[in-house]
Amino acid sequence: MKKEKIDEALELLWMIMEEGNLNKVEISTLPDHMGCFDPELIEKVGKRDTIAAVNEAEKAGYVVIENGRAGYTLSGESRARDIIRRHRLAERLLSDALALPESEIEPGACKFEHILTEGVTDSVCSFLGHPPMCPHNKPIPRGKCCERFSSEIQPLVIRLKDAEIGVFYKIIFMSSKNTHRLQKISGLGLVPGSSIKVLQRKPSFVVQTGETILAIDDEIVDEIYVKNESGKK
Amino acid sequence: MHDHKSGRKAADTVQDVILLGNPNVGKSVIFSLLTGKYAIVSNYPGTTIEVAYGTILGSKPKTRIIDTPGVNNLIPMSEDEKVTRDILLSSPAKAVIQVADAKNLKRALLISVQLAEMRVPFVLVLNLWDEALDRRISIDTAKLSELLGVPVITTIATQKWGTDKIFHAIDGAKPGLNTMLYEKSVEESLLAIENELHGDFLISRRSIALMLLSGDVSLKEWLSKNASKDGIKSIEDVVDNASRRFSQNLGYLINKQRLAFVDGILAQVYREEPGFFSKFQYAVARITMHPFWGLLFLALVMYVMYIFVGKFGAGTAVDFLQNTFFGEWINPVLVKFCRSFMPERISDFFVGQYGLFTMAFTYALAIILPIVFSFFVFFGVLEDTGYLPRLTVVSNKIFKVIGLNGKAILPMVLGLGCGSMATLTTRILETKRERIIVTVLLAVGVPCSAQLGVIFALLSAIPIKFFLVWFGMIFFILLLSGILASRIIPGESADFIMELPPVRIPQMWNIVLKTVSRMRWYLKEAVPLFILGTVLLFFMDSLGILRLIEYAAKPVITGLLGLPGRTTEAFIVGFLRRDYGAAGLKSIWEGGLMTPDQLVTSLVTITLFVPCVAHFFITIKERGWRSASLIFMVSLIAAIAGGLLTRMVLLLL
Repeated sequence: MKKEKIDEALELLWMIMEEGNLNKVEISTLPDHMGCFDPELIEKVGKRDTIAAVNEAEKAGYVVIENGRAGYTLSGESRARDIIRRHRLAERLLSDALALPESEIEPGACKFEHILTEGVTDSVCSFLGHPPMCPHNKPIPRGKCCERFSSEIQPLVIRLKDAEIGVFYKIIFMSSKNTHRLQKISGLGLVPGSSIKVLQRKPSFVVQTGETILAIDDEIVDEIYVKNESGKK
Repeated sequence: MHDHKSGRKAADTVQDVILLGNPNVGKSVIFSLLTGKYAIVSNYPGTTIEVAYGTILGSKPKTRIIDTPGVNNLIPMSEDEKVTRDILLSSPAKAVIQVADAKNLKRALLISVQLAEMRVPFVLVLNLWDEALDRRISIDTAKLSELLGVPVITTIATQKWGTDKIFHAIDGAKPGLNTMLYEKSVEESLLAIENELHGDFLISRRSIALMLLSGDVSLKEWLSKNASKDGIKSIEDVVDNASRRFSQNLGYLINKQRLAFVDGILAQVYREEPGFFSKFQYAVARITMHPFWGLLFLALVMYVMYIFVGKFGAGTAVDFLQNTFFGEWINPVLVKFCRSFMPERISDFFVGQYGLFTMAFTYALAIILPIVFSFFVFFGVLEDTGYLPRLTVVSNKIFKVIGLNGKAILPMVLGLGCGSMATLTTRILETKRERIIVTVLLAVGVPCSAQLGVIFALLSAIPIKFFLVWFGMIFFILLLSGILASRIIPGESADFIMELPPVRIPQMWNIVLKTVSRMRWYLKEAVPLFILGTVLLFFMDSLGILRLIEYAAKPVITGLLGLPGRTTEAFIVGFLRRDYGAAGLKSIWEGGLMTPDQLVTSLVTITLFVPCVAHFFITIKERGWRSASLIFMVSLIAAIAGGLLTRMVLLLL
């Protein structure tokens, strides 16, 4: 339980640093519920649960606190990266591959982040085609598996740009930061679940979905992840 | 605009019928059939950029019908989509006719679902039924009508098949069944927003709440008129809260859930037999987009255009009309007639050097008319095949260099037809930055059809190297302006997402109608300006002002560019119409007053010269006074610089 609290604290610090592009966080400004800190639980144990957790993390040697500002130690940073990686991969797994409703994704991911081993994490990552972003469009820290080209795990999900020409695939997810872009392509019928086929790669990507033929930028193609719809050509 | 004053009851307001649907599904064809008014019809998305109004033939009481730009979503993603959505917000509609591409039912239903949410009465017209049948697609229309709760009819508008049913269906229009439910937390947020919206709206509060929740910023202005300050504040809070709570962008999430709902309907009504495609059209589509063959195909298209517009239109046809028809038959008779009883001063006004008949009408009808005619025919065929949007595939990478994407080639190619129309078409581009850059390029150096025809005709008479110099120079200046503009104008480049319509065989009848409609437009717009320009020249000449201007412009025209002083008048009328200017250069050349070097220099200068009056006014309308004046100055500088550069290049060659 104590270990989990420390993980939670490391995760929280990561999120705040990532958002504000900081390397130290003012402890007094820590929010009460963010990341995996459950708002209902906080009501029970008292308000400043997050600060207590950060103090725990300091005791364990993952965090250094100076003048009321907390920063990672070397081991703390690597541990935090792994937690974030597990959490965000779990989100992808639950939302894309298992298509669970919104309300079950966060609590699920908060549990997964504590129990996945490195091996399992890499398998999940390969299985999902090494996604760069979580569903909130936050970067997923890269793991060893992402740098290796060959993998024992046959990826279930591949990038559309690596798709075979003339074969139908099913869109699994789109990892775009650009919300305007997402809304726009979804208006054209491109959403997770749609069938898509690459007609040509050069000079521009041309894809077909239903009876709609679209020419699109390479960078958009890079963000579309698909799964082979077996047998349908 | 809709009148917000109360007391105007819905019953006695004029109620409109609104035509609406995805791009390129045939709205304008149906508009033409219902009103008897021809609206330009082409085979690419975005042909209708301005709303068209008409009266339905035989309707009692008279019913007005509105043709709107195509939309993929009623949450607007571009300026033309906003126009359509705003019409729904502000025009009380008796009925909406949603026109759909039957073979693309999924995307049509994404809009139907939103219309049902708005609670506006509508009818679903499944057009292009023949193409759906060709692809072995079958749709259970009775079931679809039952699921949507509105009449569903099938048509092939271009063959007038089934279109009489539309007229009757208008009366049967009713609000669709709004059975779409979103996930619980979305519904809760919707309810919270709906509670802040008070008053009578033309569309349901639920649909407005959905737009707001999707983060539709284009509603801001409307909202400030229709909700209290506190109301807006709490709406913003609800939206903020919701977007924090959800892992995904809300607009995207809502679209996703709508499409999932649509898939549920499709599963019950839509069947497709796999394995079919038309070999010929498929092959053509492949070739036009191929990295190598595509460019060759483009070269071929340009060559055919050169032959048809430059050689036939501007050469053979102009020769006959100018030299034989006007030169030998009409003008000598007129000259004789006028000189016989009028004093010389007055007869000069009609048949002199700057005479109404000998200049204005001869230029407008003998030189320009055959050129624009042949261009419009050629261009109409090109438009209807679906080739133009495929050009974007080949040109995307080139346009990236100047901060644009392939989509920008559409207004540029249309600019070869007419710069002012093309400037309006920049609205299909997503960002303001792109619209400005393309507007600059159009003003600086895209020659319009009539001008291009004259230029082709002139250049075809001298060695090919001159043509290459002209082409290279224009291309270079355009590229340079593009690069500079994209560096100066802030903002990011927009995504390239272009829908490609199927390759279709053009229909003779549409080409004829389209050409006639464009010719009529040309005559209405160009001839008065030719007359005005000639009258202006006549008086400037007789009062000696022309000489004065020529003298003042001498350092630039004669000194810098090395051109004969008389070309000044071509540039003066070039501001009224570029083609008029080019025609002026033609007659100077034919009079033997210029060397080939001077001709090419003057042609580069007139091509890059300031936009014509009409084009300039449209630019003001679209971009505002300041930008338009700036663009004007830029093209003036580009023209002089380009001319000077040409002169120097030719000296070296």
